[in-house]
Amino acid sequence: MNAFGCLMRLNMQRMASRKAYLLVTYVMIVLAIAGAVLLANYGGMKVKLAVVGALDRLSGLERFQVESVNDAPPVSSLVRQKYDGIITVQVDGAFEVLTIKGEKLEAEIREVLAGGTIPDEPQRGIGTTMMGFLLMILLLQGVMFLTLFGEDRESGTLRRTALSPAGLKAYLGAQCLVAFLMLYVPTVVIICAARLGFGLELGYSLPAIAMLLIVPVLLAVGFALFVMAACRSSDNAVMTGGALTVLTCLLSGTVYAVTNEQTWWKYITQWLPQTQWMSVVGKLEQGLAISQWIGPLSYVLAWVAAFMIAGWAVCARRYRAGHY
Amino acid sequence: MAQFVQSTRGFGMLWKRDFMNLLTSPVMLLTNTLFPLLLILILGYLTRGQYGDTVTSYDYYGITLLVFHALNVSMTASNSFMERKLRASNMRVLYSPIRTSWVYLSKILATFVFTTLCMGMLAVLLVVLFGVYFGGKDAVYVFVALALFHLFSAAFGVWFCCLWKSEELANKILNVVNNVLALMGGLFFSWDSLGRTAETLSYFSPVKWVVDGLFRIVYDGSLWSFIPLVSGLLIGTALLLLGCKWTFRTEEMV
Repeated sequence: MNAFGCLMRLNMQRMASRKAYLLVTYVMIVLAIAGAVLLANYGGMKVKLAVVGALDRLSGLERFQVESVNDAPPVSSLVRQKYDGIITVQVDGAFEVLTIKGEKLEAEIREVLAGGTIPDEPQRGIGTTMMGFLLMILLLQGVMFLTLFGEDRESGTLRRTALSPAGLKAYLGAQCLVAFLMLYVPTVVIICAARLGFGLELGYSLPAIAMLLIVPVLLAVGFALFVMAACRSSDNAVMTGGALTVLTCLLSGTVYAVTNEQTWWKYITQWLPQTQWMSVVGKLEQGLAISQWIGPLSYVLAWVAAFMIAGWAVCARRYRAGHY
Repeated sequence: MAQFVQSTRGFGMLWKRDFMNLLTSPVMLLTNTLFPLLLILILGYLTRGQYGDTVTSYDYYGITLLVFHALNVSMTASNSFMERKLRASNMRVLYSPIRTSWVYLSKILATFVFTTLCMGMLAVLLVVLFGVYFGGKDAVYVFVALALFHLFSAAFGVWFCCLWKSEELANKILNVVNNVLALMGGLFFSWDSLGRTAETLSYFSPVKWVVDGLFRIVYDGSLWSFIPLVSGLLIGTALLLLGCKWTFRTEEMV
């Protein structure tokens, strides 16, 4: 136990000397929270229209945001989604609709212009958005916080520590615990500051956030351990981990909700831990009962356990085989 | 004169070696071909409901993710420059009778040629597989601008290595910086649709300027954004090369 404490203290000190990692990680966490707040305050995805000429039929409609312009904006502003459609009104009241977003939207706009209504679409809450952003950043940064493991492996420190009375288990345990603490504590502190200092409404109560955050941080550490152990060099691990994280987070709808879900698509993506995690936080924010989200939550925790065990097993096997 | 010729030959040999190093590294090949292609495929598929038939989601992501690829060239460059395996050989080259600057210049050039070839392959695949529209006749301007961005990015990666004195640290920081710039610049989803504040924020990312310029060339048929874009990238590259000259220290190669 003494050896474990010693390893933890040393790892903490080594990590604390890498100001660049720490700064980048914590700045990104702040940005994730700010981004979620920004998105939520803007009111999600409205249909944005640029209107050339006078048209008052669209004002006061929830789903549309209308901007009056003098000259028609270029087509590239449609492509980069500044506007979803451009309406040109002639002097006699006839109008033209220009959109690249398909006939469905054009028909909807025409319907509304003719005096009809269309139903609103459900939106993702601020807490869910924030948790999604945080999950991706934690997964990306988790690998950074385990680079000490990779470096020790390359420099031979790992072998020496493993041969000392401390042993391999204590070494890996200390690495993971330090990474966990250095990701978890600042994230909670930043969220507390956002809530208490700036009075931001974040979708969940503070204790709930503190409890909830344990899971993504654990997932990040477990994933990092697995990738670090599986890749031969820490360099490759960082790149592989980054690529895997970005791909799977996009697939699972962590960054933004996937709108056009089809059955086979769900079939492919639902096994990802991120997808299940998003359903946990989404259901929690809606205030659903525990029976609704305990299943996906335990599924995510099972992934954590699998990553940890696999990482440890790979490391132990390679250590016994003399790779380090 | 004879010295110059010999020196040039030395550069050629260095360049060939660096180029072959990149070409034979599976990780570099995958991150420069398969990874962007998969991203375009996945993102394009996910968001195809947000676009129609005239301009598809593949058209949007084909361009933005080629810019993302160009951004990540900096990591390929830093990898080809200071990877641990290459340090000893770099050291030997530095002690041979050729110019010091040619060590990093050849890496920049090798990375540039390698990644630009990869981009060419990607572009052909994109046109064949998804029918991505690169502006018809104006496609030449798009690809010239993109290629210059590759050059800029390669110089940036090498300069970052010189600055931080280690490839691992440079790569780790670049990984984060690139992803943040890409996200802010609207490469994965457009921030312009999120309101005025988000749009303004988005313009803080230089990546946004590049993407914006490219979209203007492709969809508005106006070339006035081409000159500032290209000259900006060229000036940036020149500044980065100067930065390399000032920050490169032989003793850091040990």
